[in-house]
Amino acid sequence: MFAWFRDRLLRVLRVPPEPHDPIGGSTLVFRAGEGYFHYRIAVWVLGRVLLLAVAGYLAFVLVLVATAVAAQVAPAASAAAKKSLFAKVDPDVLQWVVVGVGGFVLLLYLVQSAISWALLRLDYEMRWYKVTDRSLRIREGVWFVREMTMSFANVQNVAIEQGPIQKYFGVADLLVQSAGGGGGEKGQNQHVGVFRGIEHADRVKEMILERLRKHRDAGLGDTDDRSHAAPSREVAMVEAMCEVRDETRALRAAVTAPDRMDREPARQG
Amino acid sequence: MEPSSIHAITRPHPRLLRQYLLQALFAGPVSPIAMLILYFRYHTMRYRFDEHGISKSWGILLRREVNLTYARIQDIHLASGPIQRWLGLADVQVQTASGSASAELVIEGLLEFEAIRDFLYSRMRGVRDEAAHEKPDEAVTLLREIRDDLRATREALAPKGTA
Repeated sequence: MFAWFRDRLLRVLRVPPEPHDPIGGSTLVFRAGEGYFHYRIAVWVLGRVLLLAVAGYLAFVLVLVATAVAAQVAPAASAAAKKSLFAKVDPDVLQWVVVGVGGFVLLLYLVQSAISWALLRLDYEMRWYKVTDRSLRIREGVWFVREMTMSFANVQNVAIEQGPIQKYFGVADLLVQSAGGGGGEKGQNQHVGVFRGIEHADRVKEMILERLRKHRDAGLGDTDDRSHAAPSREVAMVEAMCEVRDETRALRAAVTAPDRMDREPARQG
Repeated sequence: MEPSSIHAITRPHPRLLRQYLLQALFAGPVSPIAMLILYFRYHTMRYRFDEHGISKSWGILLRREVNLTYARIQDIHLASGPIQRWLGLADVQVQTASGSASAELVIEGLLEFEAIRDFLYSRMRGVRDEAAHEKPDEAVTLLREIRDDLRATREALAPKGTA
């Protein structure tokens, strides 16, 4: 049932399939954790419960006020009105009308709940997080599809956010920020890449920080500056210099060796 | 897709006009005005992809031009709503390190949005630089040559010394 709905919806909305891997080696693809879906469902259910509670409270207050007013202002008139209104209607018919309307509302509510569930499920399924040694790509959304690509050289900082409900379901949001301001909610600000609802946020954070360290020029800075060269290059340079030094020393040792002191001039001459 | 064909892009695809008209319909009572503005926006829109950066210009009364270099690109977004996907279009939103949350440049109305994303991506910081570093370093090669020369000299000395 859900698969049918999903396939139809994705075809009608022309949602593109899994995004391409960004350029770079050692690509790692991961998805939001199962806990993320449960978290979204929990938040949605909580929202519903809260809504019902507020609606119930308001209805309760309304009834209290109405009865108070009716009792105070005109008890006789109200009783008369009641009599005249219900006198014309058969109580059995009235009962069926109430049941019918109630059933219809309940059905609408159930259908709407099923659709909400399916949309949350779809949102959970249609998300990809891809990390290579140079960049990351985040794809999300069904109605409005968003895909972001950010290279690690531009990353300024990495943050983890976890609320109490997320903690219960064992997921967290990992935020990867590039330079640049701008307010807006999480996800609205385009300078922030959000890995929503991942299970091992700490490990992913470590991995990203590890890759950031490789870019010594990560963040703002002029890349044309040669002193900001990649560390691997510097290491190769120092190694080569050490080899030259060792070779020079060996050469000097060979030349100034005491057993050769007498032969040296002869060889040169 | 070849970079040369991206360098050749100057105008958005005519489908962008259709996208604009459909979007304007959703503007409700002000849609005729929105349509007019978007119509001129489409007809004055020009792109230029050169060696170092992109520029986009549009507008008649309020003329705008945005220029940015590939090296300053921070992140690239690909965003599309259902209307755009039905038309086979998507917005390529390009961000630099400026103080706004929205994109500095939106490349809209091009069918080759994926190729453009890859084109920009291969030229942004941290991707392009890395590739340049992969070729062996000149200084290191020179030092290795010196080392080899020294070793050859020592080995040339050694047999005579022991002989």
